[in-house]
Amino acid sequence: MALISRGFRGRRQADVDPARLPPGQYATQDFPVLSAGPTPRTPLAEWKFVVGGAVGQQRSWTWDEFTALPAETVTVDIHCVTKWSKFDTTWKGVPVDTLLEGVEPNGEFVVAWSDGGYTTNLPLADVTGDKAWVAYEYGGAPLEPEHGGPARLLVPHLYFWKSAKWVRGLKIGETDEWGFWESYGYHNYGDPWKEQRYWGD
Amino acid sequence: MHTDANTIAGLLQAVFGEDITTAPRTCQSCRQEHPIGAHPVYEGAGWVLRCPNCADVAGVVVEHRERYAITLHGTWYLGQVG
Repeated sequence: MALISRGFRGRRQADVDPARLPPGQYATQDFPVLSAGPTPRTPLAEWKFVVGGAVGQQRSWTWDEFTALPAETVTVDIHCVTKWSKFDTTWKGVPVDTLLEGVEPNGEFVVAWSDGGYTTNLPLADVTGDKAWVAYEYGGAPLEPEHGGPARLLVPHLYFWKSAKWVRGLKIGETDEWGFWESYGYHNYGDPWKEQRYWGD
Repeated sequence: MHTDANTIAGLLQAVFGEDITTAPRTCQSCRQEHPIGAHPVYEGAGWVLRCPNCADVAGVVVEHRERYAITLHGTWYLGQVG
């Protein structure tokens, strides 16, 4: 039992489509703020996004270069492992496919790393094929720092701890390497539809 | 958002079986010693305690279904010998 309320648990809406709600989740209209550490405040002039690791060609972008890349606007449902789900969230960001163009990855795994030291690991196949973005707008406005701004990873088909806030880079790896929550007992993959919350699920 | 570890004193008591908020901890990174209750705590997928000085991770408590999954960093001075 958590001793502090995590959002407004159990406030069920009659209009929630049960087919959109993964097992064990409840729908919320709020956007709870969860974080493993303090909110970093990196000036945009110092911000760079780096795709590196086991790659033939490392690539990086300044903030101005990054936001000049072709972007997509997507509306998706998101699912937090603390059991809230939020429907129809709208984001603008750069597809990870675009960031990997010309990189020549030499591995099947990715670690997303963030300002403040947060990390999370994913299979490369889960951030390619138009399934993941690096988002810098939410709801038509610049992404607020408390929600991961200036930019966060967006991987809506996995639990939301995989959508790293304050993301600054992707490190391609030949071997799988645990990220922050994955090393503290959370599932390596995190499929909400299979309820893969913890090790052993 | 964060508070200090006194906010989750009850949770820590459930995990450790006693009130540990006044117990000291030495940080593995900056070597400073602070009472556990003075450590800022963040609520993410689980609870993260951080060093009040350098913000390195001091400990993580995850409610792992029917058990707690605990990871501690640095040196926690707990209990009473003898």
